[in-house]
Amino acid sequence: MSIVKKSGETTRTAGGGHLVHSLKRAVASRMPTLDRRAFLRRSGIGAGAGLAASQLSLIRPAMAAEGAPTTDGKGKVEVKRTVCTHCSVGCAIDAVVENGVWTRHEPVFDSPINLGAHCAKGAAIREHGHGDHRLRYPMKLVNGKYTRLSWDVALTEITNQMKDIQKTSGPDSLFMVASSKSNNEQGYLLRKFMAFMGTNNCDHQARICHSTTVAGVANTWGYGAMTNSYNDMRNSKSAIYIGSNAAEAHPVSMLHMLAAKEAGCKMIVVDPRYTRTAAKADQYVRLRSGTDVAFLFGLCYHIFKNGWEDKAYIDDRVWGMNKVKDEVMAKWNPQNVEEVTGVPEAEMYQAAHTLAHNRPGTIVWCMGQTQHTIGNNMTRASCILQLALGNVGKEGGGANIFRGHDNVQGVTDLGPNPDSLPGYYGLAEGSWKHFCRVWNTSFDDMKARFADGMMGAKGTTVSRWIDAVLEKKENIAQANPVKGLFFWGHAPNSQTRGLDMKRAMDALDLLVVVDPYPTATAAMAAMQTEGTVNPNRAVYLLPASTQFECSGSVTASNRSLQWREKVIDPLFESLPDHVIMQAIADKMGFGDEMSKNHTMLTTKFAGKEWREPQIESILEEINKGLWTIGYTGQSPDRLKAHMRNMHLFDVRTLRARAGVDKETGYDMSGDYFGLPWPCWGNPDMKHPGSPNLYQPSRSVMDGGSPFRARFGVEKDGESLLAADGSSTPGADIQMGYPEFSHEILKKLGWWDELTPDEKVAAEGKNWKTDLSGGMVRVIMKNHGCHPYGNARARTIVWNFPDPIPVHREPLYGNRPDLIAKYPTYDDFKSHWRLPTLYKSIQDKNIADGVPAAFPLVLTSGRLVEYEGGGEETRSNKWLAELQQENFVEIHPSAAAARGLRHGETVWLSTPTGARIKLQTLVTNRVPLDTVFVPFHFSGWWQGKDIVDSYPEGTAPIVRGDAVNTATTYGYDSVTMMQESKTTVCQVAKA
Amino acid sequence: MAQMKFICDTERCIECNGCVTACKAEHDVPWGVNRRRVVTINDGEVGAEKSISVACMHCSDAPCMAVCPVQCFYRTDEGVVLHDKDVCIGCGYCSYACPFGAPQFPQSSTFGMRGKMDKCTFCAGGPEENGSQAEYEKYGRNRLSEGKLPACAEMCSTKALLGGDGDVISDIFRTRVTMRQSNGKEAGANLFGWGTAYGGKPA
Amino acid sequence: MRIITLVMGIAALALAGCGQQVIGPKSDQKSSVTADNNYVDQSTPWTSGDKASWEKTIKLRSQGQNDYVRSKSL
Repeated sequence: MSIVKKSGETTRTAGGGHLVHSLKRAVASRMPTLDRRAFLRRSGIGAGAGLAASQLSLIRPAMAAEGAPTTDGKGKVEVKRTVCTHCSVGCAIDAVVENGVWTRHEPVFDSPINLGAHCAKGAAIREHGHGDHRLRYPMKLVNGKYTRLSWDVALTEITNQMKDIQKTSGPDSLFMVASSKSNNEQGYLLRKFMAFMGTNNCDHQARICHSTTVAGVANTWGYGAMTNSYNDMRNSKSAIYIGSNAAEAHPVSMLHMLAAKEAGCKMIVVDPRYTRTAAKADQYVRLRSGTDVAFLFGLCYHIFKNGWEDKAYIDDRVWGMNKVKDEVMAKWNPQNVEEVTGVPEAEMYQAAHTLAHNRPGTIVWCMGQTQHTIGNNMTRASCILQLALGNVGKEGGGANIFRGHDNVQGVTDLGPNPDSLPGYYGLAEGSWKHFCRVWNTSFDDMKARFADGMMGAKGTTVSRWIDAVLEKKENIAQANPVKGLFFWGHAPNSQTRGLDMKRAMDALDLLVVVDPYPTATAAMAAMQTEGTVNPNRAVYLLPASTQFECSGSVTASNRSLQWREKVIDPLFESLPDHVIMQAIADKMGFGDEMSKNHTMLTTKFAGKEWREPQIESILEEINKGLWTIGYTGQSPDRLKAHMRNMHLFDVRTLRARAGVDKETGYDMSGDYFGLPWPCWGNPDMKHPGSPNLYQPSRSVMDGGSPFRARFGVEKDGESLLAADGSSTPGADIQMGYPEFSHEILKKLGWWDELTPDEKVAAEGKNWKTDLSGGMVRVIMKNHGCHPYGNARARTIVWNFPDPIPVHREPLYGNRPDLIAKYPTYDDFKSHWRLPTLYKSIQDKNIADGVPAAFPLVLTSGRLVEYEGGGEETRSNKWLAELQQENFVEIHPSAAAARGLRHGETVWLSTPTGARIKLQTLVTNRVPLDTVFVPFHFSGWWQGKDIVDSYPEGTAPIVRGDAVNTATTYGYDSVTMMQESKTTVCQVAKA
Repeated sequence: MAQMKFICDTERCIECNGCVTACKAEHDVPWGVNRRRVVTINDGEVGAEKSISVACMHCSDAPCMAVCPVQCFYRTDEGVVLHDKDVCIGCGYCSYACPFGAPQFPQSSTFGMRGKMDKCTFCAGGPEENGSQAEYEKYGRNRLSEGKLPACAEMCSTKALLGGDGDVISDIFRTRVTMRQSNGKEAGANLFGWGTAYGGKPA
Repeated sequence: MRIITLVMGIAALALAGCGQQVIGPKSDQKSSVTADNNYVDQSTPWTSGDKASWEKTIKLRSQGQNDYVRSKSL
């Protein structure tokens, strides 16, 4: 719909037309913009106190301290190329530094990923060079106030307590809430660190982000990552977004999507809210929160009914579709779909028709799909849809899951996961032995660090650490509850059940925050509430540097690795993560052993000298060990050459034209940008990376691959291997084949193609544990085959609670009728070491009359201006000005029924007993019975500003109640993902 | 002769505020002053929501220039409308005259004094030596004299906001409109504000 | 701050009263005059003060805003 009256041409109309009139009104009432969120902005003006403009010149740069370097443009100017820290798109940044001060930011037009573009956060990135609200030095909570400590004292006290806890309660009583914002090398080092700490109790943001994706997708066809790329979406003829608000969460991805749309791509957006992404859709479908399985299978119903499925594709590459089809046709007819999702048949048919007649098509999903008790069902239903349409493994197709934080992909791949060693090797003894070889350390010594039988036991999760603290000892599958906890680069307010989290924080013996900012954890720990605080509790804050104060590699959502150059030296007394890790490891006694293989530097930070494991040498160790996902070819040199020569890479295909790096002579011809994993073999094998997963139309040395043989060779009498003729071009084996081991190589007569050294390393091993890379080389280069086999994707995951995805109502819902028809699971006795409740909660809610008392569905999500828990971005004055109050979006009828007007203050209450204070934003975005609250706010507690609980001068500029203070219990049946997208609440005038 | 203009492609603008913070960061614009803003029409209305980024249009016949009692405005050869803050008396007339709300003032104080007017400079600085510290402190960066274009347009997340030689950016825009038309999409051909800013038909 | 503003306000009025009001902007350098700092984009240099060569540089730079140019398939 056009915004100006349509005429043949744009003419000067009297008064300027509709839009100009609106603007005139806007100017008259001094409104900065016309969007509804902005109407709320003015009431928060107190937040700007102290930042008001000077009356005279209006532009006054920060007064340089005496003796500070000059930054008048005449000094030495260098350009450091880095990558934004705020989301997984991976926008490149040219940071201009003068005399060591970050003065300017120039767009990198050459980047094939973002072409110079940025969203509000990326464009405001230079504020990281100021860090006005940063944690400046180590601190300890003493008598309710944070007081300064030296690094020496802080580390000594902390490590003494850690040793104490290990001795008295066991190594599993320490939990590490780690970070998806570490770079790859820091993430990998932290996983190694935790191994030496003798526990698998470590986790990071992926748990509450895409854990259900990784589990669901990996168990369907082999790896749980975005299959194609943001760039590849330019090739899509249709795109369906379900549970993704890319316009606010991944804005620069829309550059590619909107270009695709201009070229004819049909864009469908499915969301309970009419988001900014939906505003760009060709078709918008309003869906009841939490009903994705019904919707996706409702689409499949029309696809199967009309015979639109890709039968040849299914015959060649998919297992189990017949049974899925039977279930879909029996259960998900249009009437049932409409009853559950609220979507009428005509709209379902239209969407299915569009997808079926516009292939290849892609599907995009984010938290809207993942954050439910049935998240793993939803993600698998999305995969099934794409398999039915034959869209997986095609340019323009695939399952394009947009990861969240800048390095959540990398840290998931190789970092502190509770259920796996780096590279998804898992925790089996063979995997531990593999890594002990990579780490050059004794397996038996490693095993002895763990409590008996715990080395192979997956740890508990970020979403449940509070229960690992508070739950009765006998119910936890480890020796004792958690007593000591690190929040290392992770916010607290992005997890549900804030009230319980406060109790858990108060019960700990040791709480350590390692972060560039104190974070809401510091304030929550310090604030006084009615509960009792463990008198022995010690709380420490350690200042970490940001990703602009160190170098390292980061993996974008499309699996490309990019190398960040260090922009500035660490600010204040902060230390980069890997230096802090080394220091703690040294004090704990395993520092030397842990960093045995790494080049050790001595670097000056915070006024003294520290041991620093060299980042490049950590990546080189990663290259030596991570065969499963092909993190072996991305050497530091190759990655750095890519960053210097971004202009060579094509925007549509990510492939380099011919080109040689001036600095090193490295020839980039044929490489895909960032060598997206899997990048097979040793770096000198020069595999180009894999831009699109499971694309059998390309040969394996050209980035192609079949589906991974991960689930055995047959099931129920049917082969799980791919059909004949569906192998990659040039493969010596043209039928389906299992993954390779030394025995298969010998059987095929390929063993003698290994060099003598390779034979020694590969004897008794498979392609994942052969440290020489010889097997991979022979299989791929000599024979064009794929080391992980050539198999079928499976639509039925027989080892999951719901082998075929099923719809179940959320634990907290406002539809008792549907809860009765589609109930949740039976309670789990032990799930990731903890009892996990389902039915008992859902039943109790019905018995207690929760749907009547809390009739509104509460969902939460993102704003473009902020990221994650929000303390970092709300401390950035350029971003904070744009969103000054937390708010609740509520439908006009729901507002009227409660006597609420736009801009009024309300209490939002939930069955937990918590209530949070918000501004009302009356809008048609949300449906009648659903409200939306952004999750980025913290710094208030149930209506009270807790600014005084922060260390002096560090509270973020903008603070507000966290929606997760009030959210409820509910966890995914496979991954323990939290159910933050669908709970219930009531709203009333304050 | 190049005439500098802005185009905001409403079919691509996703209200990400990248242009807003790019400008803030580039010129260290203080809290409370918004040289560039994103305006959204029909916020939350299904099928009707559109956003557009607005700053100074650098009009051919600038109303601000016409009404200024101390004539502190001037136009460069490229059509960029700039002003001299040392001459500005903060009367606010330009703010009332401008159809786009470009002139900005810090919070009003006693006697209604507004302080010096501030607005988008098309990243062309002001009447001080190009690229000097004095120019930066008063007007912000002078990207044009550094061989660059406005930060807002160069950083736009979806390349909705185009800024540069009017002929060149019209070309870029027209190619997209034609693409959309030929693929049955909403063309989004209306150039917001061009009639008001530059008179008559757009290029 | 308030006092300074007040004084300036009065000064402006006073000046207006006695006809010594400053009218008109100072003269300004052309945009094609290269900025005197080390931030200048060196990738496509132009002759300082020469309009034609500066316009050429700027026109080339504006293609950074054109994603169609970069996304044509090989």
